[in-house]
Amino acid sequence: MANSGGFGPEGSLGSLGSLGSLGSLGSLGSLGSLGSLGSLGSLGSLGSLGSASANPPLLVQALITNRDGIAGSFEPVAPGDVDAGSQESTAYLERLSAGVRSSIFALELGSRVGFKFDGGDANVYHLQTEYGTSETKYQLLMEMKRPTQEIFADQLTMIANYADLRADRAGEIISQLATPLEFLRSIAFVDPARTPFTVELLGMSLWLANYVEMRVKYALGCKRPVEWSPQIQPMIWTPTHGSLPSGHATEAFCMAQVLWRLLQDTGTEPYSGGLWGEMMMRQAARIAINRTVAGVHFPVDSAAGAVLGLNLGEYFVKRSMQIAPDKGWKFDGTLFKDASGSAEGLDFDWRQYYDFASTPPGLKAGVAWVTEAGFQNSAPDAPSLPLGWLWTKAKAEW
Amino acid sequence: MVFTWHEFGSGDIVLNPEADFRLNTLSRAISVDLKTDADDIWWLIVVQPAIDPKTNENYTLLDIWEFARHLGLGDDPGDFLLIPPEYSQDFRKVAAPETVTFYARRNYLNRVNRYVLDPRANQTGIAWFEVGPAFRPDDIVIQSDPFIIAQPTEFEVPEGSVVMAVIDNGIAVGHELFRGLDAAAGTSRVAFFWNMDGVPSDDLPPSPHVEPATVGNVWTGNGLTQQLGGNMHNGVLDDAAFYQSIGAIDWSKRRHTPIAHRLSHGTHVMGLAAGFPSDGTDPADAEKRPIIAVNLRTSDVQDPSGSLFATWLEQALFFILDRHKRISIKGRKGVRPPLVINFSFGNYAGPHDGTGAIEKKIGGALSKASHDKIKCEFVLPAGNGNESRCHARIEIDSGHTREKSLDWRVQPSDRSLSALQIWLDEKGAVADDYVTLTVDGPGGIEPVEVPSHHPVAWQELLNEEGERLGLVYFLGANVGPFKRGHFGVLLYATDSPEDVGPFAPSGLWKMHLEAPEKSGDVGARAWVIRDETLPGYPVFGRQSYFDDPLYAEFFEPGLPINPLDRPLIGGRLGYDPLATSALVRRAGTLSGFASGDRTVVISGFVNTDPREDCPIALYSASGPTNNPAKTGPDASAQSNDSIVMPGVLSAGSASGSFVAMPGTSVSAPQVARWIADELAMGKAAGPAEVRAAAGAMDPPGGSTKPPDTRSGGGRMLELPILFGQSRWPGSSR
Repeated sequence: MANSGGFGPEGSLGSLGSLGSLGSLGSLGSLGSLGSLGSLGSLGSLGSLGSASANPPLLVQALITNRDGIAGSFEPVAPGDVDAGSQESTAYLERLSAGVRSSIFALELGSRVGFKFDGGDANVYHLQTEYGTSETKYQLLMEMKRPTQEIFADQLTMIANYADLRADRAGEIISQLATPLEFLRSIAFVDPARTPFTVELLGMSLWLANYVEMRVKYALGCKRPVEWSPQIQPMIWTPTHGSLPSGHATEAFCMAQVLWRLLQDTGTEPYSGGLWGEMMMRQAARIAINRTVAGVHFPVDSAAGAVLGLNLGEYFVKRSMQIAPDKGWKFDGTLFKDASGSAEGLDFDWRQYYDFASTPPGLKAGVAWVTEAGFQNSAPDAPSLPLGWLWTKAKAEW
Repeated sequence: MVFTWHEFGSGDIVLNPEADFRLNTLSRAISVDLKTDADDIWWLIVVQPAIDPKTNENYTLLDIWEFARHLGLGDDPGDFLLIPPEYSQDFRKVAAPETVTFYARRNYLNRVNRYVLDPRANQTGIAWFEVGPAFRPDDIVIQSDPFIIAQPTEFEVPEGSVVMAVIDNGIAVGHELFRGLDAAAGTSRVAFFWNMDGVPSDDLPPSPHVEPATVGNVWTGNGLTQQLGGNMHNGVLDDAAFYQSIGAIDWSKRRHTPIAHRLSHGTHVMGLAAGFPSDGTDPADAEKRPIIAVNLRTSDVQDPSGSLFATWLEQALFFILDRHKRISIKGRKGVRPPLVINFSFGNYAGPHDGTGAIEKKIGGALSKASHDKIKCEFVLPAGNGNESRCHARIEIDSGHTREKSLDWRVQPSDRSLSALQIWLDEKGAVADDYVTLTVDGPGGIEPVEVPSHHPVAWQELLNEEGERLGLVYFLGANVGPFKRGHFGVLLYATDSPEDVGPFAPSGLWKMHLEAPEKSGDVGARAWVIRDETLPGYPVFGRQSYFDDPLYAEFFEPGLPINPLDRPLIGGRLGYDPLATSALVRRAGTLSGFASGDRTVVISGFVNTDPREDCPIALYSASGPTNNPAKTGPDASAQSNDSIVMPGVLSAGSASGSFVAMPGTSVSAPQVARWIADELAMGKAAGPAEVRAAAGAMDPPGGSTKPPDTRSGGGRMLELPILFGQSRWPGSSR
């Protein structure tokens, strides 16, 4: 997914650098998110588990000669001497490295998400299933339709005008090429040493967002502003993947929703107060808008990304809290217009479809282009015990 | 490219050559920018009405309107002339004040410009006019009838209140510093806000929340309070949503929005003039400082010459004085609180003798307030052009060579007008051969001479196709409001990304001023017009400047410097070296708006420890002027927190944020605030009182006290530091 030389779209690729040591996990892109924390020194240590640097030749040589020196003749071990470990036990998760766990969580999430492109609709599904039974059903989690060409054309002037803020926001824009975690951690006291499981939880929510958004982007194939006009001239690399939905908006809103809901679930004062959520959503919106400032996204991309991200965030929370998902959403880009039928003056405004007052706070159907999708909830739905374990561990950190 | 000069004959003369250049040459670029045919553009003009010989008073606005019917441009003046609907019917009927505003198209303006200096002068009703910003027809409300305000909002304020009016650009009125405190925490203290950048919308609420305006929109305090309330979420203001709701941010319509930036000039200035933080302020104090804010159009402010934004001053003051009438002291109906107006803008051009259009307008407004028994003071910055190399002093003495030369470097890649003015010291009309300006352009352009011919002489620079690229003129004394004659050189842009060519040649333009022996001692002051790109604003122009090899910008050993400058090798000098032979001078760089008798003018100093050492900021512009009643700033206030920390802290654009900004723009409002405090106590606080107070805070005799031309009565060392004392940790200052 990299454009070149380590420029990572949507932040996830940053991960490939820092956690590349974990080998196969790097390819998942999920822990890319955590890459940004490399600077904090937290996960740097994980690298030692899989990399050559953790097994320096001198030490390897020493362990060989050392064993020769002290082990003596090999004593046989009887089968009864060792207890068989528990199977499918969350207690075992704690003994695994974060990198290994991320593979487990990735399967828990990814194996229950389906996708189909159907007549202009990019449909993301949640697979309802009780494993081992025949009762399975794909429930519509997100239906996304791309805007018309007229809408994209209408929005170009706004992108050109937003360029006004490029110099003012350059520091933020460059920093936000990495994951949103750096910016969320400045709101809530997230720190790899202090809240390692919260970091892991947010990393997995980022994985989910990235996993879904890339498939949707691919399906909808929306052109970037730079493909519309030679005068947009973005200040950063334009990622090679499609414009809508904005990956930054998806990831930032997804993580903001997860973190906010986690803090609320703890009930710990003051973290569960409304101002914390307000700041997190504002942060997500600022990250999204900065991508328009940079010249790589239309405002409508941010709108679509925010809806997808909030939706996936809440979905992730439910999966983690072992509550059966029960709601899906539609984003119809063709309706992203004002009363006059134009999208020229229609900026990204997340408050139109976010309700702080609802329980839980989250998406609402406030505008024509954001509506609820039919979610039948007709089949039994097995909870994910590993995700539940991670939520509980993260919650206990607050 | 071959260039030729073309001299205008007496039959072609115009009243205002600069206006002619703007309407008929710069309009080439303006038309492209506005995507509007030049003949369809409406121009804001400030007008000095002619005197009606029948009444011996100025013509009325309706007289001027009637004159327009008979200029051969059509029966309906509405096709080319608009009386601002802000002017009431009563106002239109009576003798007009010294300066009024119209909107007009260029067919009318060209006609007026040609008529005024010939026998047809009495057919226009206009004695002088200056041309300001240009508009597409859709940018202004074109209606012949005056605005009717359905429910004029009136405010009652507590005893001891003083209204602070701020004319600026980029005013984030929603900042918490401009709200009430405690019980009034959700209430805007901005009683009236004319946002000339405001995007018109049918969705805006009606009166009493919004009032009509020809340009932008006008919000009342009620309207702002309502919108603040609607955009508070979880206890904090959603700034972007609030400004979108009042039409102040709209990325689909505006290319540059200062209040969306971290730092905005007007927010910062207004914070210093009238901002009250929620911690440490008595809510009653905040309640006693209602605000009237006028946000000038950003597109006009980004041209720092002042020829656009300053034209608005008449309308801005009309608005302020009009709305001020609706604010009265509680329980004393009709008794209006004192008024302080801060205008943190400057320019380089103008006569610098108090007769500039801006100075006259400010003087007129102060006279009107005085006539209406309102205590009113007007505060201006000294300007930041001390080191700009945009000012020169020319003296041709008997017994010496009778010619002085000055090199003017016009920059390539300059998208804006480059211009200079040379004002004669001599008052009144002079002989045709009193002095002659010869302009010698770069790249083989033939030199051209313009004599001091009254009332006007000019030569225009043409390319092979006859398109005009430049103009050299002389405008005699007493033409228009000026007491002195002046030469002007105007050059079209040297570059543009748009198709607006052909361009004027950049490079070294040589000015030779020559006077015969019979003229005796001839003195003149030259100013380059400001045209740089302002920090944080889109690319505008590149500042041309006088290139004088004798000008010492930095200290070097052996250079006899002013004792107040520091002898650091390579260090910048804030004063002209002693006995300099350079024509380019720091002395005399004072803002072209700041030579009027009645305004309070403030320069800036740099805070130090010990404080007695505080030097005047290098950029802070300097007197003298050609007005003996205003020879420089009246006082100075802090404009840099230290040598290494430029600026002082005040409000950033986002509510709750604070940022640093330097310049005399920030020293002026601190004194405006002090003046308001004095007026609140019933004391006088005009220029003389400010001088006296500064003198008391900075007693004479000290070796570090700056001269009168830099700091007037002295440095106001005892003004409080309003925000961010942490910039001087451990200090009580």
